[in-house]
Amino acid sequence: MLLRSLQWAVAWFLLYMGLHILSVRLGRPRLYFVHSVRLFGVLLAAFLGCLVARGGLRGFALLNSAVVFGSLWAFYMEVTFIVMRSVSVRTMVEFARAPTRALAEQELDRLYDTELMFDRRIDSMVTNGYLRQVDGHFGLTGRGAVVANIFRLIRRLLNIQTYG
Amino acid sequence: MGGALLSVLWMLAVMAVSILLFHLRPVQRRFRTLCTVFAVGAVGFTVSYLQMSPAVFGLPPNRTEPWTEFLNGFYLYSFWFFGVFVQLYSLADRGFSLTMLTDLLSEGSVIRTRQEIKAGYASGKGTAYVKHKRMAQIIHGGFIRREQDGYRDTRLGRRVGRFLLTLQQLYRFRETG
Repeated sequence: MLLRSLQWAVAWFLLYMGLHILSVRLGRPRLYFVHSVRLFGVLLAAFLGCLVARGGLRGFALLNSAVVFGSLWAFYMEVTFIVMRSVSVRTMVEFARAPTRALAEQELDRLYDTELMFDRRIDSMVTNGYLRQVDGHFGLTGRGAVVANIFRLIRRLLNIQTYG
Repeated sequence: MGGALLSVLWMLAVMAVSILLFHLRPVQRRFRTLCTVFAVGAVGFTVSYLQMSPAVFGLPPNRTEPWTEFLNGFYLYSFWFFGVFVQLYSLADRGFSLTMLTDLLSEGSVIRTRQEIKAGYASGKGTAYVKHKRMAQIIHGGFIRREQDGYRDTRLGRRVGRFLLTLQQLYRFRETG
């Protein structure tokens, strides 16, 4: 029964991946994370409904199947976020695009302006409700303060002194 | 079920060891240290799975699918470690948005202009720090190398760069980085 629970989880994850790629390519969602979470929520509900209706998996096997499906999704989201937002990834892609495979310092700055990257992150935090904008000034919202407190605690716990 | 429960126990153990190591002595290459702790935990997980009877967890003594249970447990152990713990570590260590949020919190939840946020990034290191840190890491990883007035990618960097570009095109990500 455990093997079947894993097969179900992998099959549904592959279905999610296919639908996700298709919807992102066709729909180009403005809020990528929200779109991905919603699609996952719909598929998880359908997945559990399907398993319960069929009656093949019960108890621990059912829970395990849901946890494995969720973990595959989390891994997948982490990878796509790195591909989308990592500075190192973007830098390496600029080299892959460059015809001579070499870039001068100024050329790299022109192709990938880190100042603009910071602007995008600030705008994204305003859109997602972590920062509020008043007359060109930015401050923390309640949600932003909660997240900042959690990560300040994690930094202390992991003794991270040089960050950024 | 025993494999899944063991994965949680070993995850908690390696998490505690990692935190202890980070507090006891200065660790230079933290990701390497995390991987070493993970590997030691993986051996511990395997040995304890093979040696421990499922009855320890109040389960029936005979395993019906021993190898599937082992692989399931090992996968979950890897997920708790890399998908949760390392991910949280990475966000706390390198997350830009999170660093901007914690900067604002440290300054007493004040309001700042864009320029002030950028100049004060990572307790005053500024935006140039980000670029230099990432470039140093890419060079250290062997993906690009320094030349007289710029940089050139290595064979490894070329392959990885092309693969990442293909992924970005697959998802049609417009603004990346």
